[in-house]
Amino acid sequence: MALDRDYYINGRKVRLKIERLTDDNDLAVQIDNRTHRLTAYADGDHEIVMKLGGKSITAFVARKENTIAVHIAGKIFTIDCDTDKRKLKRHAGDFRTADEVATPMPGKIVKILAAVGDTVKVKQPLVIVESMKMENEIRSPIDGIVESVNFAEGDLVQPGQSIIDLKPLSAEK
Amino acid sequence: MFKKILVANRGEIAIRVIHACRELGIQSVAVYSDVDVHSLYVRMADEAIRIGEAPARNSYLNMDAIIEAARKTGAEAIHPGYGFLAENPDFAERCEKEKIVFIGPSSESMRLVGDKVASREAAARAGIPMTPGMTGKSTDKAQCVKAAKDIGFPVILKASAGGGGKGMRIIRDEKELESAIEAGMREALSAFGDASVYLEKYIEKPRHVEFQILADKHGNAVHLFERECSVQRRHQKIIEESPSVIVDDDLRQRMGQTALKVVEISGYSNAGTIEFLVDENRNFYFLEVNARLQVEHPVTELVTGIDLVQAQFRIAAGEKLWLNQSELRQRGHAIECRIYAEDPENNFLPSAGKIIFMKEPTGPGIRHDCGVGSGTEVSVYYDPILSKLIAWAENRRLCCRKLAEALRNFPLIGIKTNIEFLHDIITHPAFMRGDLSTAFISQNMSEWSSKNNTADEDLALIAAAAHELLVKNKPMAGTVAAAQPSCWETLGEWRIGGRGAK
Repeated sequence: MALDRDYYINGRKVRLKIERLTDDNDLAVQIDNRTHRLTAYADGDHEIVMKLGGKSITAFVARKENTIAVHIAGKIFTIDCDTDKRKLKRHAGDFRTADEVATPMPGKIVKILAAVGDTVKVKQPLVIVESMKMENEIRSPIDGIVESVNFAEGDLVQPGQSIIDLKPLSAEK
Repeated sequence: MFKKILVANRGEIAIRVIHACRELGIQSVAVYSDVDVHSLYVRMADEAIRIGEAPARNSYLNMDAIIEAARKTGAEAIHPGYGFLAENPDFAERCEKEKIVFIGPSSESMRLVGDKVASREAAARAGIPMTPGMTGKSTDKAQCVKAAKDIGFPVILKASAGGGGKGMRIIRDEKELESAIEAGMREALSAFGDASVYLEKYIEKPRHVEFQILADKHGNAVHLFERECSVQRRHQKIIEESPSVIVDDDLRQRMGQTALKVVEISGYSNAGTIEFLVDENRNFYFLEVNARLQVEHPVTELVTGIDLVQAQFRIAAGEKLWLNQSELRQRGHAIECRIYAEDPENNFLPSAGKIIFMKEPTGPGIRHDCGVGSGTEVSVYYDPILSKLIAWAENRRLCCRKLAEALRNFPLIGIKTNIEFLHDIITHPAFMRGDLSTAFISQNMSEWSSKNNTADEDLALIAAAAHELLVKNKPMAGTVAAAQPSCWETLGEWRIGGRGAK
């Protein structure tokens, strides 16, 4: 059994090949030009225990359509399995793609602070949303360029809807 | 002892109280709003009564509905938890009139400690140390100038009608005094329609230290030592511990005596907390009384071994206090951190939605008071607290390590939480040193963001790929060569004991 596919993580596209070496759980993984050998076990639907580089590492994996959230040692990573963003369904919380600006709760857009073509910095305020009678700044998750603005001031938004799509600067290289 | 108790709260604290009921063989009654119908605490209670719509004023603050639920189920007592009606003297009085035991202080005592001006006056008469300040509010500039000079700089100016920091100013010397008073009064007038302000001594880098007390209805009281809750964000505690690194035996003795004095002069009974500020020279100042079970009560339970909720039941039932101050001990070290549904990378905005997967951390010395699980929908209607993670160890250094390890092994996937942020506080050198103040977050954590490197990302990618390979699932888009589809995927429509539908 093997897989060969593109993944998309933190604005970065990677090529990943994974292969089962024997009948048990020895795996060979190639990510771009880096290779890894490991033993991995699935424990239930969400838990993957990996023996790698002399360490035991437990990962917790949950999936929504073509987006995967992985928890390892206290950090959560969002990975998209389809690099064609138009095909990806929008999600909220940990399943939010790194290059979109979204609200964590339902609200009304008070102000949009960026326009298509703008270069924005990580943590720069991009949208002000009013929720529960409070005005909240929604900041840029990455350094990037504004690719599209999908809502207008006064519009209502839900978690999981992308207000602004960004093109990551790191993907340019 | 009571046979049936109604819990007038939700989430993790409702579950905490229901645990105590079960252990003592008491029947429990939960109340819930429409959005909480599937909550864990509703399932766990022996009976559950709907009390209204999602907004708190229609449900958890709806006194008529809660009293009616107690009547209908025959509950003899109500535990209010924290928040909602816990410190509302009108509710306590209503229970008294209805002959339902309110598990907390009397309405009269709650009213006294809840009135900031009256309680400070009573405390001043009893000689309890407080931050030096004006005795009343004022709209007279000259009077404020004189008061500031009498108190001594730095002073803090607060709007009398206010809250939320409006009109608040720290004044460090005489040069800026007059203009600051004028500006503060203007701001107070425009924000609250009342220009009156008051001045008090400003404590630099204060620590928040509070004492847990238990008092019966017969005039007996003990304190269960201190908790330090200096790590706060927007005046909201997020990490609490016992003991406090700056409280030594002598200070503990004096603060404990002062806390008991506050209990005595206010006629307080049941569990309560006396809050103090402690300055850099270990002077302490009375702040206020919290007339309820605190969110952070587990740290006291772990270092003293006393179950505070069970103690509340026994005191409310009229039992005489069974504890002696001289026999109480603080053992080891406990730290609690509050797990919130919020996004630390986005201004701590509350995060609503479904928890797709959660696994509670376990291990020796780990306690998790939790109101949610895999599949729980977190709504935006209430306080975003999900749970509290508490560690106990023989000393503070080991306790920090234990808690940090538990935070690393606490997957909660689906909504944003502050778990990683808390981990980075616990492992911060200043926190490990015990160098705490209420300004800790703004001084040490204001630029925080989750930091990943390529090695971390590679591990995540390997796990994602291994998951696709090893866990049978629908193949994803973009898969070049996937595992063989399982028989369930190729079988088509079928039905047990019949023909498949078209």
